[in-house]
Amino acid sequence: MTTDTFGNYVEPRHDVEASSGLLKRLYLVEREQMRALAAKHIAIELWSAKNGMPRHWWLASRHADSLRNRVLELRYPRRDVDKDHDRGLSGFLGELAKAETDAEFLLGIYTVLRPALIDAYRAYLTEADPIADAPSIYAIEHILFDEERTQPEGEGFIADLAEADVAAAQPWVDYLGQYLTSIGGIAGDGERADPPLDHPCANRPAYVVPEKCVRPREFHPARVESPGRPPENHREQQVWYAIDHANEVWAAEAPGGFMVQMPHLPWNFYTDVARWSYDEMRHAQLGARRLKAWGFEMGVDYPMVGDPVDAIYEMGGGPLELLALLYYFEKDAPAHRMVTKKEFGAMDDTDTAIDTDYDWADEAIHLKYGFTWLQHIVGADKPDELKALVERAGEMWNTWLAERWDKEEDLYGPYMERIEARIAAAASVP
Amino acid sequence: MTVMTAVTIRTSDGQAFEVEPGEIVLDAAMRQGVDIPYSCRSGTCRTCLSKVLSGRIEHEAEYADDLMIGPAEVAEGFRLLCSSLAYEDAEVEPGW
Repeated sequence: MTTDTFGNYVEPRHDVEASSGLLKRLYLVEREQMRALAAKHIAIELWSAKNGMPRHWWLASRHADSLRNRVLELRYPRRDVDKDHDRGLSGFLGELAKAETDAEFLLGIYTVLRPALIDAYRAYLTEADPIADAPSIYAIEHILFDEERTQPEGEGFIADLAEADVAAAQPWVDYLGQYLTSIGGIAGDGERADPPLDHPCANRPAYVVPEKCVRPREFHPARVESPGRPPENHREQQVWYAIDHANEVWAAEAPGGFMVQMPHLPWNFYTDVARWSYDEMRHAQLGARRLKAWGFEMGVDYPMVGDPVDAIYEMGGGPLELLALLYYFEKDAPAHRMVTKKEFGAMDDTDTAIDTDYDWADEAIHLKYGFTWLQHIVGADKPDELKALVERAGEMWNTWLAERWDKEEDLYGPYMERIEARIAAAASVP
Repeated sequence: MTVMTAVTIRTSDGQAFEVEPGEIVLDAAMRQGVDIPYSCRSGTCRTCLSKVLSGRIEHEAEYADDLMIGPAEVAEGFRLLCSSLAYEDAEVEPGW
């Protein structure tokens, strides 16, 4: 027990150095959680997780940004916020994406990392001075609000896994738990030991982002998402548009991969990418919602593919061309959305018209992201090079798509029959 | 520089519209039903990026540093019409 010169009891509390050090650890955890969730998204098969993870990594990006700003404020400007991290904590976080199955990854995030992170936030609030450190408390209270709301969603993903898969993932859970304990926990204030390098799950290779978007095995095979002919009536126009929207999942998966494929860009790149990919997942959900309302079953009545990702990699491109292709699609979208919104409004499909309006609004942000970061990578003084890169990515896509149709490798036949049958059935309803 | 009279803008696809003194070029086009692609109306999305083929159109000085256009493009005559004022009759080609 400590007393001051008046003999008053003095509550033990952190000084600025200790607080900023702890906040820096929490920032690192949120940042690496964001990167792991986003980069693994393309490899996840479980559809509830595929749908829900983008919101979690977008929130993690906001949490990380808020904590990073607070670290910078303390002893302003604390410039080591992005370097000199605790090697043990970095090592543990680097293991998360090495999970080899959906079950391993989801259990690692939602049963090992996040419960410990939530406990660390609660401990910070218990120990923080409510006046001296009030800005940190404000930030963490809001982060905790998000974490406590999203944690049950993560547990819901796990509930959707097969029991055998969960059981098979237990050694990985055990390994991560041992690793976290060995580094003294999230706060690093526990007893430390050597990492469990002799564990059977240790020493796995680094995660490499796959070049193909994983879809649930129960979905029927497909290569392209768009029907091979233009819509011939309003109903087809609605369905074609919704299928296109639903398939924007790839546009969440591809930038998610950039989190590890482009690891040395400024911090704002990652917060932009987190938002961009979350937006695209929401657009996909808008399309899927319309199709579900019209009686279409995902992956059965209409295809779910990642054809732009296939196109870029099969045509010899890489992450930079994927970023350029995202921008290529966004670049011409606003003019298209203006017309589409009017058309759906005119056919009394106000749901699609409003979905389009929000999509259009998001695209203005995405265009800024795309141009900003392509320009950063290519060089601000090289607009012609940037333009050529975007055009090359567009050509890769258009060439690949045309070849799939020409060579009859689209696999669309069964889908077209089901789409036309669904539309015909809807048309027979008075 | 203050522009005292309206100027006429022609687009490379044959449309024409008048821009009042101090009026944003894209706002003038929209007011008169001229079809120029746009989205953000704040100089960030680049949808309204156009090349000035003749005449004088300049970005609003107050916001010029925040626009998503590089100095090399400005030197080549490109402008974001959502953030530009016209100072004399001009011809523009939307797109890039």
